[in-house]
Amino acid sequence: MAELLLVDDDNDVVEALLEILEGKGHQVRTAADGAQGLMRIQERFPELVLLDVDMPVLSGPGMAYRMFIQNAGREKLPIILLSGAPDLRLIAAEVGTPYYLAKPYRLVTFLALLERALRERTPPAPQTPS
Amino acid sequence: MPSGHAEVKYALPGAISHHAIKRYKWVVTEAAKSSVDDALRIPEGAIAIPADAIISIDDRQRIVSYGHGAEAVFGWTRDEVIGQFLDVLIAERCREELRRHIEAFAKEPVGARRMGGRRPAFFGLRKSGVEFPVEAAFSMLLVDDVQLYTIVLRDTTAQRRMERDQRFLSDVGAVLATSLDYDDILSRIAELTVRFLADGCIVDVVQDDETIRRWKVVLADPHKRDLADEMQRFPLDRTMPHLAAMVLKTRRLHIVEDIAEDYLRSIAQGPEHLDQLRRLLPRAVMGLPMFAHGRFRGALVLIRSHMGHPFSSEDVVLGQELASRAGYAIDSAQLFHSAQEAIRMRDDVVRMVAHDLRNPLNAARIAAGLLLERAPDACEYNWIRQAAERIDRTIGRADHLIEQLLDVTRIESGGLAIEASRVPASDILADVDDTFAALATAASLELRVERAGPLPDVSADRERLLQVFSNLVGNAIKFTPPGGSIRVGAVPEGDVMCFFVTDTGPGISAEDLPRLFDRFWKASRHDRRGTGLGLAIAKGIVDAHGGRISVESTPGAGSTFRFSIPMARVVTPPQEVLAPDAEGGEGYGRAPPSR
Repeated sequence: MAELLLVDDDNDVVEALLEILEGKGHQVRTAADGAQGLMRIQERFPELVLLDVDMPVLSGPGMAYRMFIQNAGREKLPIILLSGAPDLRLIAAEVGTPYYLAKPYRLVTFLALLERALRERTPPAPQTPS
Repeated sequence: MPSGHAEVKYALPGAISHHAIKRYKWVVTEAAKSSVDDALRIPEGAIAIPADAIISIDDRQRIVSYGHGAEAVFGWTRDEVIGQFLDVLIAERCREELRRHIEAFAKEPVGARRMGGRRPAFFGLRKSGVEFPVEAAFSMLLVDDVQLYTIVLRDTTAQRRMERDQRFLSDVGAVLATSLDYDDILSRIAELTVRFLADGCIVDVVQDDETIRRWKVVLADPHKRDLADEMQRFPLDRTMPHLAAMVLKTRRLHIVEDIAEDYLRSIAQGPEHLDQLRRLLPRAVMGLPMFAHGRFRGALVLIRSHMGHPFSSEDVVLGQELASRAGYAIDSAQLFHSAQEAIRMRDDVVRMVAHDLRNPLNAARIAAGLLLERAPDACEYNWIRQAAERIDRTIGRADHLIEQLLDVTRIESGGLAIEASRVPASDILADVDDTFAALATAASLELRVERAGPLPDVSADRERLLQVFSNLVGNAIKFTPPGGSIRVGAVPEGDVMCFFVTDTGPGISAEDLPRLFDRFWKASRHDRRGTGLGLAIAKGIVDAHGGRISVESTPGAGSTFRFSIPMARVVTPPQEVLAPDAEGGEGYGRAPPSR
């Protein structure tokens, strides 16, 4: 069981995932945009971040980038990008995370990816030079 | 008439009388016959066409005969020039060459020769001092042992002008036909204009919001390039006079000639503007309104900077023709621009909607997954699992449609990403077999994937290629009646691999074939199967690979789709590994970090 941070601005998606993840025994905190997500991380480090791409205030990639700067790679914090954005693969490459899944995804696929990410825990390696 | 030579009778030009003809005989070779034929028509022609001047000179090149036509062309009377050297009628720079030409001609056995044709033979000189281009035909006559030369001259000023104007307009037409880019078209028209018609050209365009924008200033003199830039940038006060003000105000042709300092002062909008006008030094200005479909589009201002070159009536006609074409060009460029803009906006909306649709679909799919997971195992709860699976499948289909819409916008904006790698063609065919065998069987169709013998590698994006097959084979399965068959295979043709999908379906009527690859097009409006995007996407993917897609069909017998994909090169050159720039720059177009 892991401590997860779920960042997504769509309430239906958040509620559906909460039901599933908490049912599996994970501890889940949520945030509705990137800025809130950063605040949650400052409160306490999760083991993994589930991150949407297009969100108000601060986008998923924007949040990932700031996490990288603030955290300077000290904590290995894997990110799973979950988004309906076209060309998600390219966005994932920019963020530097190997974990991404296009919405609308199948529950089984999502759970398999989550399991893999929690096992490997590969932190993002952003392309953008710092 | 014998074919080797022609014996003709001919009048000494100038004495425009048929009765005078009979005294003279001359012999010319066949080579010069056409000239002689021309010359034979001169007696009438000299009366009917005063543009032809007929002059005879003796062996010292003194004028001995000078007709009415010549009087009209040169402005000298007969009495004024008889006995003078021919030089008096020839532009000074051409005299020496013409003298040598006549001397050389005298030594030739040929009796007649033409000079000119495509280029002017030389330039004549009128009494007024004005030079003009001529075409000339020479003939030599022996009269009582005295050698005389007759020159028939034609003033080709009007003809040259017409040829030049035609060339100009056809160049303008070519420019308009090759581009729909506003800025590009106006630049090129302005450049043509300063080459043919004026020393400078200003284009002022009425914009969508009815304001006027100085779009282009082009000056022929390369030393005045800075001035053109300054004039283009200068913030004109449109309520005050300036070079284009009158034509913009009246929307009529406006010509100002003999421009001097006081005129420049009268239209100057301050010292800087006056300085520009002085450096521009306009002597004559022609302002032309540009219209298209009755709507005022702007002004084209032509500037001449040399004294003694006012705009002629021909210049005005040509200028108006040019302005009219430019007006229509601006019109189509603007229409094209707004069409592009509309397409861009539509694509943005499609992208946004596609993205926004995926969130609710996602929530529904997760919920369906939850139902599947939590439904009790007992048989009586099977219906829950079935319903959840149906929801999941339906969402999958909806997402496929969204992806198709996105693909179409990607294809149209040229943004369809193809990641080509070396793939064995037989692997691609195996993909097709794996993906569609079950579907074909379910539809009672035979799917035959022909994989006989080894096939060369192609350079392709495997996923995208499978998408092409998915559309083609998917259609074949959809439209072929049960019991039919579908054949898929590949044939190497030169440096491409030609893939094909053949079915025994109902075929496609000849009238539908040309539009088959258009997006949103369906043979039947009532057919609700699919979006009509599949073939457009297939074409887009094949195009992006640099290949071609085509279809052949016989109604009642079936259809064959073929598409070509480039083969992978036989030897892969060693990949050069490019290390990231030590300075920190990574990739093109990204500025190195400032330090």
